[in-house]
Amino acid sequence: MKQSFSFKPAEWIPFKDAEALERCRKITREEMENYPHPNPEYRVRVVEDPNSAVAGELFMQLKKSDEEDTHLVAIFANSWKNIYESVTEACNKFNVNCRNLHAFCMDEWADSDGNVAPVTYGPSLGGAFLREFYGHLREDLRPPIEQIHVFTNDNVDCYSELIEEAGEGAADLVVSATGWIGHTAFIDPNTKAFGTDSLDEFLTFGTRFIETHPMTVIQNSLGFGGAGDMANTPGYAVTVGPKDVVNARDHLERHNLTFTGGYNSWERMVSRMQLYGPVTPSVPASIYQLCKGTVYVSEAIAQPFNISEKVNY
Amino acid sequence: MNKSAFNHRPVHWLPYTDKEVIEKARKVNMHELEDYSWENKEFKVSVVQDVQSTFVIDLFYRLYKSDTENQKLTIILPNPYAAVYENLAELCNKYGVSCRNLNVFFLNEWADDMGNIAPLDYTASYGRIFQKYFYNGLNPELRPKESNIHYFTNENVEHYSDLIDEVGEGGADVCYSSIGWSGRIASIEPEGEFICESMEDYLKQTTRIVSNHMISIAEDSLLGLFASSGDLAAVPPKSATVGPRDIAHARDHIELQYKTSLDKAVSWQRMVSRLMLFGPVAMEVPASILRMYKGTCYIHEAVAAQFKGKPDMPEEVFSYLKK
Repeated sequence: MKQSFSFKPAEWIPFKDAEALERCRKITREEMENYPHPNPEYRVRVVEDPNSAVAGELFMQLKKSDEEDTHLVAIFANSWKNIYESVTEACNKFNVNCRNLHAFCMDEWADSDGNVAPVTYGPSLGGAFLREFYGHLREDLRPPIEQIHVFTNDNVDCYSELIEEAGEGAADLVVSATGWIGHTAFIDPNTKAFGTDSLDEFLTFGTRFIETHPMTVIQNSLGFGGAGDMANTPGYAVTVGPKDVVNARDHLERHNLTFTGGYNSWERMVSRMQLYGPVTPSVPASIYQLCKGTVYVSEAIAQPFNISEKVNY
Repeated sequence: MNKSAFNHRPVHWLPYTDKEVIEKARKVNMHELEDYSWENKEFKVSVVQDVQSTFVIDLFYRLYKSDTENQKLTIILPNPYAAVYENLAELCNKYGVSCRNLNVFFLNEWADDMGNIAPLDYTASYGRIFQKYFYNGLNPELRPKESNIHYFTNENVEHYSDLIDEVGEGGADVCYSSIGWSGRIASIEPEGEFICESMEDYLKQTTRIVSNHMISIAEDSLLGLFASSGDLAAVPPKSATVGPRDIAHARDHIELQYKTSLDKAVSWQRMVSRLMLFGPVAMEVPASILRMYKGTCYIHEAVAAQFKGKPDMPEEVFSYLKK
């Protein structure tokens, strides 16, 4: 249909380059895996079920670390209950010892005064990791608890240094997903904490306290009682920084957040922006393009942008 | 481990932040409202299994009565409701219901960053959806005159409220609506152009061009009209909208709350529905004004469902932290 209506997107949207956005929208499933990316170590794979692909890879990294008796320093996204319980279940079954694992949770909620949520807070991200990964591992296979790092009021300022110290320079692996506004961890665009137009400067930022972007609150409110309950969703957090992400030696990411059983997904557009748009602080997760790693994208997310007049939600 | 309990305040930029009121609204059992009364005794709440069917039957019956009693029917419609309009046209055609007495107005329409209203050839135009699925779907002999369908235009936006009052002889017979995530009704947002000193002044305000709230842009980016993909930049930044006066003047109101994920586990309407019904009548929750007027709020079972929050964990769960 001919269209005589065009407009500039709302001013507050961090990334508004119309040409780049249109190019991202039009990328086909076939092009997604074969995109001529300048970094050959950055791979995109379209699969039906990214969860099991990530779970399989994570299990193999733990097994390798056990067999070769080498450290595995990993930064973990939370809460990934299905994946972590599957991985630890397999470790329990096949006696994979995780003594060499040094785990860092990538972020945690905070209040407006910068107080970090304790692991006993129901939606705590570190608490979820402890329950879903550490607590689910057989006791004799667990690493010493000192090797499991959740954010606290006391360590937030030196968390990046702790990662570098444990990992002899950087983490071995980052396990992550992306957010509606293009964040990774709680590294949000257009925020005081990570506000810079310079990519070089952006990549030097380590862990810190952040007032998250309102879109992050909107997104996360879908997980608070499944109710869009924005008032119950913390608007502040502590998070690893771009430095911790980009310096890590390997990266494992999944893009598969759709509303259950549906085509509907807030992640479809931002996945393409992260994977095929420019590397920019306006889309923080785009820095993965600079790294070695694999992004598993679900077939549902890879579907073309089809306008559906009859579908409301 | 941080020992203190975590008790954060609602983030400051939310339109409505009274934690106590929100907490109270969150806990209401929507299945125990028999004794509950609102500001207007003729405002009712009904929890149902299928809100869209309720919409179709309600409007079809009004069309049928308007035909058989030869009475004018002036309505304000929400969008995009292609599935509803398609079935309404089908029913009218099958039962020979003439819509000659029908006069249609719309709650809102998209506008560009300069305030120009989207024409009917814009793919996501709300007027276009109505025209395609209802008007063009009706047998020609059952259609109202084209001049009875009042699409928003650059020319009529300033006096659209007056048109509604003139055609409807004081107001629309019925206004259909569905609350937005921000608490809006139509594009009457909880911040910006409509906020004023008093509720009395608020309810006098008429149609205008407004900026869409960030929460509304997020919500609308999930619509099928924008490929259900969270594509924020694809959603127009402004809208033309009816004003609170048009809601106030309508003689009946049907509010529709049913927006959930396919598996019904997630619904952003779940919280804001409670805020509208059990918070104060306030500009910060624009749809709450519906409680002041005759009407029925139909709520899907899944939207009315109790919250499944994550309770705090006892420290014993993390006993390994103490070793």
